[in-house]
Amino acid sequence: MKHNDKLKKDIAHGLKTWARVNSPWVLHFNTGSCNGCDIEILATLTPRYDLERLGIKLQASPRHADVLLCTGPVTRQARERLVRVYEQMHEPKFVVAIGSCALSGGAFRGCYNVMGGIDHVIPVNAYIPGCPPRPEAIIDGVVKLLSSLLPPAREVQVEVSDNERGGKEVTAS
Amino acid sequence: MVTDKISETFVVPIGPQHPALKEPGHFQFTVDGEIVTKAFVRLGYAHRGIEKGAEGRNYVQNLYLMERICGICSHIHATAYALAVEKLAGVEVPPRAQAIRVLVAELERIHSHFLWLGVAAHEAGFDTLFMYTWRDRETVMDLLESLTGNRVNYSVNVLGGVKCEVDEEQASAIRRGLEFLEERSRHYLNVVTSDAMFLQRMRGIGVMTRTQAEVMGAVGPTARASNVPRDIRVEAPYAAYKEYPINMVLDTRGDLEARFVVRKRTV
Amino acid sequence: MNTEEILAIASELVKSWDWATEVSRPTPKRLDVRVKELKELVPIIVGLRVKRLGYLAAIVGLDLGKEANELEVLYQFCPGDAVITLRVRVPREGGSVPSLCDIIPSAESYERELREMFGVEVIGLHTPEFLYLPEDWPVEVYPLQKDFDPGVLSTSRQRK
Repeated sequence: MKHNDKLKKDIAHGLKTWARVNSPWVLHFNTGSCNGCDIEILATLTPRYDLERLGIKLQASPRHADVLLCTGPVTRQARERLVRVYEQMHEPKFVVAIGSCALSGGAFRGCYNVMGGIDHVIPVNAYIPGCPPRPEAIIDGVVKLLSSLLPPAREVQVEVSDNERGGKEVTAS
Repeated sequence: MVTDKISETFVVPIGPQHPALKEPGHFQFTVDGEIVTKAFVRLGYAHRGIEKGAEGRNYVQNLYLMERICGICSHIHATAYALAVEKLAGVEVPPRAQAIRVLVAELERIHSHFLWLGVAAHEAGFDTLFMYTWRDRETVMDLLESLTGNRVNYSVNVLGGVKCEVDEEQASAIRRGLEFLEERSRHYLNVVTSDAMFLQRMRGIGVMTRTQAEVMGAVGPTARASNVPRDIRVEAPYAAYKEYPINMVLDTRGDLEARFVVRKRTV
Repeated sequence: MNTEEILAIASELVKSWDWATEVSRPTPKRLDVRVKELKELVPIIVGLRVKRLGYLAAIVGLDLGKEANELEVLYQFCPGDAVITLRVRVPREGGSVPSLCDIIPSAESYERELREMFGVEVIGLHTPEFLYLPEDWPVEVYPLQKDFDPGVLSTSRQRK
């Protein structure tokens, strides 16, 4: 019975991971950026780069989204709203910081109204550098984040040895 | 059962996180049905303290800081800064450099107007137009990338000139790209002025009369859509605009449709 | 009307307040007017508007330094190619200028910025709330004054 319960749990977890990885719904929030990164995010959704073919959909509400795509050096005014948006997202949630401003404040580091990077305010799962990062870089970053959710591939040891009939024998473990 | 007729106005808060907004800002529209009767704006979400930041950086660092004021119009901020510094320093920039600045500025204008058209169509619910214009915008982005090395924040300016050159091959690629874009622009102008569903959302909406535009100090395509002849490239030509004059595009209606038409005709 | 004519008319207009103004032409396209009496500022601006000499392009503040103990407020009007600048000096502490909101509605955002960044009180401003600075900004701290010290801001950079 215990074995059955564990099997059911494993199957459910596998299904959920499969759904999350294959169709994450993203929310975009700009915490005061110059808009360059946001334009490249939008360009990633348009026909040439087409993020939607990876199952990624732009959502309107934080409560519907799995992934928060965040740009901008966090300005003082936007800080509270960022925290609120993050808290409104349901677990499991992932944050992707896009652009050098989101990583460390970028060109605006040291300016008085800037907190200096998103990880000063909320925990970040993936960092995509660039000013702004190309759409290919954004796709690469998002795909890397999603692949990290999959279970690691099992390592298989292969041994080739001689058998008694004079041929080769392959054992895998 | 007795029901009272409710005739209170309704306040719609928009932002700072909103799918329609690409930049944060907080708006509160007091609406009566579909008519906006009052509006309140809270800005400051994108206030980064650049003016103060510029005080602590040297002239060269500031050139790159100025580019990042806005990602869509980055070149023109840097150009304005470079022109100001060159004026202060009494430096004369070679004419070819000025011409290259104008070339990149106009390519930037084209990409910006296509972007605007796509986003405005997206807000109106016309997602097909959004996808089409942004696909065509990629042509300009490719041209800018082959010319300058980056799609956005292409730092072409240096204090005293530019740092990229246009050779014959690039020039012919630009010409081919522009021919394609001209044909697409004509198509979009046609769509914007003849698609019945889209026109219902634009014709007669958001009208600003010429007097209102002048009193409120409107500039740019918004002013020109209300028949105010204000275009700094014509009135006070900077860089190489004296050698390459621009036709000012005006429209008399002052509504949303006029603003679409002015921007498309400018392209 | 070309630039020269526009600036000649503006110059004549402004000189009718000759007890309160100092006019100069630093470059051929610019007219610089130093307004010495604050109460003449609004009549001069009304005069410029009546003659349709330019739209209000910007209201800029300039901190002349702690030693001078003064701030300068510049009103830039742009008729075509020309730039007409009206300059007014106010004390650093407790300085004030009259608001232009009733004559020129677009002045509102510039005046709000002037108020929050430099500490110049604008009398008659309809909406005195902060335009760009956040709600939790400390009072009487003006970022664009030269002696602004970012250390006074609470730098709570801990992750929540």
